[in-house]
Parts: sequence; structure tokens; C-alpha cells
Amino acid sequence: MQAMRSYNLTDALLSVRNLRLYFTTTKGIVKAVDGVSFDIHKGECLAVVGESGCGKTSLARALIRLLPRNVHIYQGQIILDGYDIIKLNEEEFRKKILWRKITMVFQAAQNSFNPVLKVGFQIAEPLMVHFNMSKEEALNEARKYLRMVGVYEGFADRYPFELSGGMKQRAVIAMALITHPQIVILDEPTSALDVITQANIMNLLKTIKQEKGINYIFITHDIALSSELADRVMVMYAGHVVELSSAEEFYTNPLHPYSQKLLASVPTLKVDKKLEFIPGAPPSLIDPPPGCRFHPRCPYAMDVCKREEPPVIEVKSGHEVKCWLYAKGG
Amino acid sequence: MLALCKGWVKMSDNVLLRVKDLKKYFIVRRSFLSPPLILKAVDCVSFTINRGEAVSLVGESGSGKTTLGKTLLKLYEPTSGQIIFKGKDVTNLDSKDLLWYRRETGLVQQDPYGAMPSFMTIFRILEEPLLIHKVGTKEERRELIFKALEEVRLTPVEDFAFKYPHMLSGGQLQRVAIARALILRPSFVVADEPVSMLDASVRVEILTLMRELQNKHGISFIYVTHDLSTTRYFSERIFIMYAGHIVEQAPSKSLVTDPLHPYTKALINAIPDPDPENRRRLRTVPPGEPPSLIDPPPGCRFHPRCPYAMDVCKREEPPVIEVKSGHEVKCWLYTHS
Repeated sequence: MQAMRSYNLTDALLSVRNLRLYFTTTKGIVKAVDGVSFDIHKGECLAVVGESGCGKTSLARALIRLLPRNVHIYQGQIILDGYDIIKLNEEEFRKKILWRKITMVFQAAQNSFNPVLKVGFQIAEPLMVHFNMSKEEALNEARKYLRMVGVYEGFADRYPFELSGGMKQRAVIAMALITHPQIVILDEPTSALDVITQANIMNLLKTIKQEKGINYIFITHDIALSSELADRVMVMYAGHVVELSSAEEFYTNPLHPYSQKLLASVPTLKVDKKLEFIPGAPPSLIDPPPGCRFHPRCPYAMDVCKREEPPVIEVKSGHEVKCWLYAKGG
Repeated sequence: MLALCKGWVKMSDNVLLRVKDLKKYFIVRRSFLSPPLILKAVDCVSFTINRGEAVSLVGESGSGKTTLGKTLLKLYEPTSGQIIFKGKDVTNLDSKDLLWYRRETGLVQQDPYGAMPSFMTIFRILEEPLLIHKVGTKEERRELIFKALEEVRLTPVEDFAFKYPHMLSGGQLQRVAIARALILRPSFVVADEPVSMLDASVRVEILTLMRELQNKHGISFIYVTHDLSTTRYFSERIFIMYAGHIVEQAPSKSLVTDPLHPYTKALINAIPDPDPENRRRLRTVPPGEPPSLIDPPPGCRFHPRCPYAMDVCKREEPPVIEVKSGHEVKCWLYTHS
């Protein structure tokens, strides 16, 4: 049903429908992303949250088509600016989408610099490779972007080891922005940084978003941090999207039991509350539990949860939840 | 100089550990021929820890918090200063006394995978400290190990005891690390970033467990972390470290609700609470990064980033001032009030 919806019906910048990404491993088939659908509208930041092993990073890799060799199934629709990313061939994808429309900042990206090349050259490289810019022009552009992200532009001529973690992270962000993409995927962009540096990077990302109208897909396991950027929040659990709602709704009135538990486990500095945790761990993606995948850890689990997969229910406009608890009223 | 270091020490019967003017310097060379430089990782630190008390040591990376933790456990030799543990000076110990001190102390490390020998079963890992300290017979040791595993809720115990570290998840392995640190019933444990490598939802679970065991056995804990937001739930007092100094120490609640040092204020400001309004506002955070410990700025080490920096801050190291009972701060702003 959902897959039939065509892209001209929505005004979304990016529409993902029924995306599946399975991997073959020696132990069996890992269903890392299992039927994910969402839209991103212009100027919006979507935060993807969940514990590790819920398929967040796999989703990012599916969106940017950066797949390992052991892919078993990669199907569904990813429509970006009229192009269906999955259907494009390698050549077209590289020429039309990658870098031009979508880029990614990887987890612990500070360590992804090539240690023997100068920082400026590495930031400028996509311009030379994809936009046929001359080296001189590209390096000038790299300096401009370094300045924009708050790094002294002379650092373009330094090697990565001469920069601190925070500066390298800023440089990686400069690299992701230099080709004027529409969407930047941020996969745990501050996970290895100190809190003050993290706050500085978040300030930078907010300013860039405002000035350039860039869309982020912000992947994090830190719920408190996700509120720094999110306009909408998508909660993933065991390869499924279990809740998708606006930030206002999500942080004040989460619906899915998993979201509620996640929020209750966030230690807050200013408010006194009793901390909770979710007993157990996310299920194996090879052999997930039948019915709702959260039912073994859910305090409200009913009989139906163990048997049948819950439907996606739009409880309020723009607030969807995949849970049997909300099935009766609708 | 001496006068500056004084003031942190307070007397009480109930004190387990007293640290006075502790320094740990490292000698580093940039290259083979360059002259040796001194890196002042911990510089003139003084405090006391009571019996059965949990203290959080909070600071950014490179603030010297891990070095301080390891120096307290005598894993590093202190450069100067004094560590008094249960009324005994442990700053310099011979090997016999060091063995006693090892038995009295425990360590939980940051990376559980790195902290466990991969060729040993969990049983062997937990047996090791018992063997070294010649505790019990074979049967008694077995009983102790099973009891320790049960305490950290790795049940069924028989299943876990004969697994190898790589077969366990990070959270489970950190439980083993806690069991290992506590198996000799030490009176003082340093937990060095015990949950920073774990998933957010597991963190609270592990910290709750640690807190529970700490209260049950009356152990004094130092919880070393960069994450200020969890500390108020798991410790009685908080120490804030910056560039080798403890800049503020206070009861947890007092520190969080009424921070005094500009650095502490900045730390608290930088931590997000889940609030949809966050995305519409920028945080006021100090620019720049912590200074090099080889060549720290003169005067107060925070002055280049401090919004309230005065002339005196650039020249002289600030004294330690007790602003309220138990709430001390190392800052020139509070010298006259």
C-alpha cells in the first residue's frame, strides 16, 4: 500500500518508503532495516534515536548507498529530488546524488582523516573530483569553509594530527558542507567529544542550519542531545520505526512504551526525578521476537503483542506510533 | 605557594582517605633530541573522602582526572604530596605493604574489553585476585566467585562463569569488572569512566548496580567521569577538575543547583536536557579548549576562557575558598565575599 504512493503526491524533499536492508552473515540474515518509511520536508532536521543495534547506522548507510558486500536485500524507495536512489546505477548515483545532494558525517569522523594528507586538501578533494574544480580554487573554497566552521583557515595547511578532536570534527563538518548538499546525515557527530566541545559543535550546526537551510538527519543514542537539533524525532527499535512525531510532541508526550522508557532513563541535571532503565537488551536482528519486537521488554505487553505485528497508527496529525495500545480507539 | 595548597584538608574520624598537595608530573619528550618537558597532570590537589562515601570526579579529557584516580591507587608513583589511607601514609610503600594496599583498593576501567584477558574464562578472571592474595581453598574460592557473579546479576551463574570475555556484551562485561574489583571486599574503589563505552540505556543500569553494592558493603567510591548529568544520582559529593587542579568541590546537590566556579557553570550550561526548545537557542559556552598541561597559563588556568577574568586571575593562582559549609571553590571571584 505505502509503496504505491508516488513521489509527486508529497512535497517532501526526501521520501523513504518501505526501505529494507538485510545482510547475510554466517549466523543468518540480519534484518537491520525492516520496512522503514518517512519523509523529510525542506529545512527540517529529523533525529533518529534508539539503542545501539537498532539499525540507525544501517539506515544512514542505506540512504547514502554505502553498503558492505554482504547485502542480502536492499529494496524499497528512497526518493530524493525526483530520483529513486535505489534504482539509479552506480555511475548516475555518484554523478547526481552523492556529494551534490547528500553527504554524511560519520561516527568518530575525527579519526577518518588520512594522516599523510593536509587537512585543506582533504576538505577540497570532493570539489576537485566531483565538480572538476582546479586545485587552487578548491583549496580556497576549503579555507572559506574552515573559517565558516570556526577553524583558523591556516589549519588547511596542517596535518590531521596537529588538530584537536573538536577542530577535526569541525573540519569534517566543513567537508560535508563544501559541496552544498541538501541533506547532511550526522551519525553520532559528537560521540567522542567533551561536553563543552559538544555544545560548541551543536551551536555551529544550529547556525549553519539557519543560515543555509540545510536538512539534517541526526542519528544519536543520546535523547537529551537529540533535542538540540530535532524538528521531528523518529524512534527505531530492532529495525522498525516505532514512533515518529514532532519534537514538541515527542519530548513532552511520548506514546510508545519504548520512547517513554528511553526518556525516563535520561539523567537530567536540573530536574529531580527517579531514574529508570529498560531491563534486557534489544533483540537479535537475525531472529527477532514475533509480533511486536518490543514485547519481551514492554511493561504493557498484551496477548496480541506476542502474536501479531502492530500497525502504524496516526494518533494525532503528524504523530505516528507502531503499537497495539493505540489500536482500539482509531 | 604552600599557603595556596593548604585549606582542602579537613579533619574527621570518619575519614578514609586524605590527600594533601598531591602532584603527579610526567616527563615527556617531543622528539629524541629535544629537551625533556614536564607535564603537570595533577598539580597540588588536596581533599578527603569519608568511609562509605561516593565522590564523582568530573572533568574534560586531559584534565588529569584519570591520572589522579590511578595515582590514588598507587598505579602511578606520586611526584610529591601525601596520601593517607586509614591513618597510614601510603605515599611510599614497600612491596609487602603495597600488596595490602592492593587488597584494600579496587579499580573498574573504562573499556571492559581491554581490561579482561581474552584467553581466560570469567571464572579464572575472578579467581586471579583471590589466588594472588591467597584467599580460601578451591571450594571456598568457587563459592566466592559464584556469589560475586550473583551479586552483579549475571545469572544463571554457571552459564556465565565459564564463558570467555568476547562472548559477553559490554554491559555484562562491565558487571564482571565490578565483581572483580569488589571480590576482595576493598574499602576504596576507583571507577574510571565505567559507563562511557556503554549504550545510554545500559549506563543507568550499571551505575544503579554500582551504587547499590557500594551502599551494601560500605565502600568508598571515586567515580571518574566527564558526564556531569549522571553524577548527582550516584554520588554524595562532586569534585570538578580543570587542567590538573580541583577547581570546585561540593555536595552533589549544592554543586548542581548553585555552582560557583565559572568553569562549573559552563559545564552545567553545556549539558542538554530533553527539551524541544533547545533547538531554537544557542548555548553560552566558553570558546577554546583546555590548556596544555606542559605549559599551562599563569594565574588561574581557566582565565583565557573565563568570561569574568580579572587582572589578578592572569597573574596569581587563586586560593581555595570555602564559600559555604563543604562547598569550596578555587577562584578569585569569591575572595572578598
